[in-house]
Amino acid sequence: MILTLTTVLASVIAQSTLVPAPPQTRPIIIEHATIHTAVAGATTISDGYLIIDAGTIVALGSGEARGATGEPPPADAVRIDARGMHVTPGFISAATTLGLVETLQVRATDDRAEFGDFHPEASAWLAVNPDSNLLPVARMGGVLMAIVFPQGGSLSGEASLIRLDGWTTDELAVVPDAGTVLRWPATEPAPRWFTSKSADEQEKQRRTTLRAFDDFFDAAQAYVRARTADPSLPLDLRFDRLRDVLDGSRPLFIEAASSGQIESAVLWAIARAMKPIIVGGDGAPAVADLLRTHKVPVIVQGVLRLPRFDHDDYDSAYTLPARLASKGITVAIATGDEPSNDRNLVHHAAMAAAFGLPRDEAIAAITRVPAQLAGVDARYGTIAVGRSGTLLLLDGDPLEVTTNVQRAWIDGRTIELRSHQTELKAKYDQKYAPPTAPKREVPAPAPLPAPPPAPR
Amino acid sequence: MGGCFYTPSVRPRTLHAVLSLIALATSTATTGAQSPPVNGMLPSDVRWDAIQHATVVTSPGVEIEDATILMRDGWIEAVGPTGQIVIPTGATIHDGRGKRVMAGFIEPALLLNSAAHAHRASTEAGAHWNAYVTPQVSADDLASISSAVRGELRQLGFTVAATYPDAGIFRGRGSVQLLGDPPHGVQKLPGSAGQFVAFGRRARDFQRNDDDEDGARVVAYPNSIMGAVALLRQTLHDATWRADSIAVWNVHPVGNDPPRAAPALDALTAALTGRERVLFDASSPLDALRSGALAKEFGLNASILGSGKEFQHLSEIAALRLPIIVPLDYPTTANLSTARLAESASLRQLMSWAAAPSNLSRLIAAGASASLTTARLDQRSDFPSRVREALDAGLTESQLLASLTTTPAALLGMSETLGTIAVGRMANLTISEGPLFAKDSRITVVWIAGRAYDTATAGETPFESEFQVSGRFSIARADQHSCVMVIAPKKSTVEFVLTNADGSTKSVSAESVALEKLRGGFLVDGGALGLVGPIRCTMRIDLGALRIEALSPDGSTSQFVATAAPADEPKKVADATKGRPKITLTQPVGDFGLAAVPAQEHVLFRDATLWTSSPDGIRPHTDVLVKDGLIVQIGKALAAPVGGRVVECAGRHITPGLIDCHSHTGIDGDVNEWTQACTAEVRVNDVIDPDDVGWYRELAGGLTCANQLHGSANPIGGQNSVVKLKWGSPVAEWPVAGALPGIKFALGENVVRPKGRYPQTRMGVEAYMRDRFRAAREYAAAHRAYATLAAAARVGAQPSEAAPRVDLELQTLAEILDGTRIIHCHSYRQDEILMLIHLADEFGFRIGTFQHILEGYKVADAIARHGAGGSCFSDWWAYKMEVMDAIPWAGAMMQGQGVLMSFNSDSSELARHLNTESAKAVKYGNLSPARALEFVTINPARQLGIGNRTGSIEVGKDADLVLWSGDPLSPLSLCEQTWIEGTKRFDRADDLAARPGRELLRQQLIVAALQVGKPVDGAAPLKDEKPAIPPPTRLRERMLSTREDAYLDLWRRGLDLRTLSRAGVCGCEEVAR
Repeated sequence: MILTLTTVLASVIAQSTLVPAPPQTRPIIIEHATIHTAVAGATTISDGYLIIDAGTIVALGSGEARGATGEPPPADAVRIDARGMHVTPGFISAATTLGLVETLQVRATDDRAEFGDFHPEASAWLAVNPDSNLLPVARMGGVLMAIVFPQGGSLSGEASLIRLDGWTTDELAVVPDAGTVLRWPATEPAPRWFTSKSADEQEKQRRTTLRAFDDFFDAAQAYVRARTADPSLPLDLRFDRLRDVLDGSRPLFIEAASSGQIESAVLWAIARAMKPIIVGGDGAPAVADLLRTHKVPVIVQGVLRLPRFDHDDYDSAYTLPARLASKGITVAIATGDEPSNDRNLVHHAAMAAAFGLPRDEAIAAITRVPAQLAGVDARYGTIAVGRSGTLLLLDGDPLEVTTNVQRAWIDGRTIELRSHQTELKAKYDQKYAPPTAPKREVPAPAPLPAPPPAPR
Repeated sequence: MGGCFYTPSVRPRTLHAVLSLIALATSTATTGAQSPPVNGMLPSDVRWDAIQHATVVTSPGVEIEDATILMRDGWIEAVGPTGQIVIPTGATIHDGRGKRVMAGFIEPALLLNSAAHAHRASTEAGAHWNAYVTPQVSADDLASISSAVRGELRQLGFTVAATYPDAGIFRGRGSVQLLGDPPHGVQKLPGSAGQFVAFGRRARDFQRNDDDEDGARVVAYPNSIMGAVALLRQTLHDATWRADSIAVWNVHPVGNDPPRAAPALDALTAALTGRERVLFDASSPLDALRSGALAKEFGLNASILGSGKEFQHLSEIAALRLPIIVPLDYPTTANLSTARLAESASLRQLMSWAAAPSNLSRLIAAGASASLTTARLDQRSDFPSRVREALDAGLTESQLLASLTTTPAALLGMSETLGTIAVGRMANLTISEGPLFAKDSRITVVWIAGRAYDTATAGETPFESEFQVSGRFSIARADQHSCVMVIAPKKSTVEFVLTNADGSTKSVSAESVALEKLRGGFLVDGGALGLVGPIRCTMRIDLGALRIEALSPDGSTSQFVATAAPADEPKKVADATKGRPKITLTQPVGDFGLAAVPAQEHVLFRDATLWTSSPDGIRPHTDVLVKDGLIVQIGKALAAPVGGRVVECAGRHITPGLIDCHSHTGIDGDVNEWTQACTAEVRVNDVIDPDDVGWYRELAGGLTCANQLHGSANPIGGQNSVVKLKWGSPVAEWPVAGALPGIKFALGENVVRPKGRYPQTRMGVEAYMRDRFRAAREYAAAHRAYATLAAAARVGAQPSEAAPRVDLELQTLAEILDGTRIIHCHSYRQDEILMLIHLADEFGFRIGTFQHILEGYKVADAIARHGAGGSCFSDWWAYKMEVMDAIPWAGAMMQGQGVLMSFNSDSSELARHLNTESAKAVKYGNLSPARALEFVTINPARQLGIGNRTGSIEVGKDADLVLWSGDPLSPLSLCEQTWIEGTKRFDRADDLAARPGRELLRQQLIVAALQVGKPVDGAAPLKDEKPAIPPPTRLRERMLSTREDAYLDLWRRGLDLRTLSRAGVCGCEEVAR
């Protein structure tokens, strides 16, 4: 029965047939663009140019394009006149399950949650389907990279930074071990209609969970100490994978919503000398001093979201990034939504900008900051000489909904801006228009032969 | 009140009738047929009782000092100043000095467990098809009120109670019962206390019917509030029709089948003719409003068992002019002791907490006829303290007394018998020492039909067994140290508390405590009392004092006299008699509530960029003049209105109010009545919740109008409701007049999800719809045929033919066939879309809109040919299999093929920024911004049949306007003001200005709550108040049984359940894993 179902589904859910981009062979020059560098403190470059060569930005400036040392630009370069257009780093969708699930409704396509409560050894990048139809759609919304989060249990597993183009998972993976995901228990009792458990029972449950956290992390630390002293001791896959997290060299992404959860989680992680990053952050403004003191960043899980409580200001979710940023807290913005909606990541940033987050910071919250949190800010997330040529060319202000991505590059490779959806559009454009009609609003593959006349 | 009260007059005829039916003990009038032979002497006690020298409150506000009441055989013979009443020889005289005598209190709503009777009634021959329709159950048949409950009620002063069955929706008939103990006569008074109906079954009913005998799941209709209303309505129609049919059959029996047994419908006849009262169980203020609407629709003699939260809709409920029974079910505080814990307490919860005790006095002040009940209290013993809180909150003592006596007596139609102290009334009296329910007062005795029941103790035979003295007593001792003895007869304990010279105290419990009425004994450790060895004590009550004799181990005895010691028990922290602050209520009560309903304005919007959504397109630097709710002028340099307001709009944009063609915001209870494949009789209009904070949030995003749809669990769902978001105004003003009546249909995955019912495939969906349309056609034909009968045959003195039955389900479907109701059909795949088009073509009607319609672009030409509209998401996809082919160009592509298109939300979040949703028609469809905006303005207005009055900015149309800080298609623009029909419903500047005050009030109320009481029910922020996020369904219990872990995980993640009815799922009970 299960086998049959799986077979049927596999045949129903089409895999993306797009061809991954080949490596960059010629330099690319984008000129006369408005360049949003997303560099901290740097301003936007107007009438800007940049040159990408061998996957890396080699020159950046304003006015006439010139090489890195002021020489004329390479003659064999592809030159793009981007007058009236904007350039930004490729967007990075943080705390997403993109690639781990095709549709939530079909279990067979869902690899988000491993069995059990503690599974730090489960690593997200391994299960990302490179041919997922969701990836090309996200790319068309400007999302070129993603910090993919496993879910489930308490210690869900290892988050991975991926790029959204490649033949295999190996090619997708940028940082397989970007940090470990921990889900903090509720610190306040749930109201009665969420649960039949009394406040006392819930409190007991919470203590049990926190005790289990302590036990697990104590055991992991003991293991690391022992095995460092004596490498011949048997390997424990779970604890071994936590090494970098335990010593603070990789972050612990802690999912925590309320101020109580955040306070509890941060104090716990700091006391263990780990490097926490809060994911969620509804209640973060109430404990901003704690976050600032310990330089704990927050990944806001969605700006286009309802306020949590009835009495919250109607715009409390919209203003959350601005409220945190104004208190000196580093903020990344994620969608907090199903991964199929990752293409709307920039709209979350735009809403944050409408409600008080400076525009540059709104863009940084989906570029520089997530790159920093994944430990790759030296290469990704900003536009500067020496950085990866992972960027977008947009036909308008990046924060406007009406703006479209016209071109995209990952490490200098020119990405196809097509998807299952564009193919469907092209197909049905054929149905409604004569096959000779040339007008296309989106890049489309070579015209298909005319379909047979419609059945009616 | 002068004159002689002693007039042993003839009792009114009605009373004779009552008397003759009640076997009040040995009244000679009643010995006979109903009484068994007497085994022994025939009793002949004359029950003459007189209470003298009491303060008698004959009716609320009317007192006689030093009065006498004379009772005989259970009835009041005389009442008046003591000197004027002649006491017959042989009467027992009771000293009433220091007592207040009031008419016996009446409990108007005591619910009795009727689960077994309801089950029997639902399975007997001729039972109604729906197990929750059992009006034939009668409280007369139920087990009597238990002696414990009778005792509890008497302690509170109640002498009589109207009892009702408590199971199901049509629960059955009530009866009025005396609260005395057997064997003194029959406890039930004649007549009916009315039918009792409810807006939903309880969890217990549900579980009983949830599984059949084989354990298979039986889906029991209704699961939603709107389904319950539909069932109420249909059943009342059926009962009317049956009565009419029987009347016809009685005249024309020949050739006609006799009516079959239908005890349930027959039981409702008296209610439908107004002869019997109908009591609605209104567990929320909105239920109360629904009760009023149904009572009006069917001409019922209705009354309401309220929720205690009527203050939330005070004027609307008072305007119903229906008697209301008010419980004292106040929310109690939970653990708000830390800032973290108090994070979730909403202003609505806190204000409701504060205002609850004022509910009764507010109702009375608003002109309502309100009675008190002990129903809905967790513990009946809380009643006095709750009453005290109500008194503190403004209730007067005479209002209180009326709500316990005259008002419920009138409600029950028994004012001639109960509720006042007067000659000829039943001798039901409640006697109190001190002011009624005051802290140190107590109700000492109640008289029920002329028999006294001591209420100082709750025991069944109060005078017999308990030690008569309780409390704290000082014992004089030589060593001057204070010694207090504490006697608790109920617990059978005796304790000594010693205070030493240094003020420290020590307590010692006595052992082997044996107490009887007037004497007792115990053993106490003498060492602990500064004596030697075990001391054996006896005590007795004699000569007005408590005397103790102690026997020491050496055989010596010593005597003490105990004197009452002053109480110095610490005041309980949880005593809630003080501290709930007095607050001014807002509309709605709580978060973002308004001080008053906002008024329509005469207003000029000057120099705006006008997005007209009309052929005029976008007009820069233009003025709009609004008067009486309408747009009266559009142009340049318009004159400012005299006495009106001018809104300067330079640099700003104005659009029509946005319209959401697919919303589930503010639907009270389940969004789906998912228990049947066809629920066309169900109406969302019955369950609009105007208090849902979601409305305010949507106003803040420029939304002014929403198409509230039933969910998509059924091929044929319920009727829609098109409303304007008139936040702060009564819900009756929300529906948009002139909107085309509509109904939700659904295709595809959702409708085949419920297991064990037809249909399970898209094939079955087609067949099912075809079959129902066929039935509707026949139904309409039958009604047409009847309508064309000769008038004489139809409505003459002797109609020869019964009218066809009114079937609200088929009637609704027939409206679709005749074009007066449009379908809004949840649909995804192209095959199912074509299927419905074919079906509609075949039956000759036009589909209103296809909703979601994510594959509609594949058959846009067919949709355009048929003439249906389309209402889709801008870009959602991949949330389930049937939407894997959704594309964001669909809206524009379909529009290009001639389909009238709109973008909708299906989400209380997305509905907050439909403007930027429409911008996606520019992004993907390359439409002009003006045309794109029409996807959320004039296009949905046309789809809903209100394009002639809203959706665009044109002279003569409703002044539904949104003022934006910039380009409305930009996410960087803010909605600054939202106007509906010339009334400003949202102003961001006002909202910002009000924030500090709102938060201050919230914090003050939290502090007040902390001072009043310790946490009672920590699991809820505030007990029993509408939670911060409304429960997803009334079937919370059921949902929790399968999804508790998922729910708790949502709470942990700080997620709002309302956002989790995912796109296109239409509130189907699905929660992210």
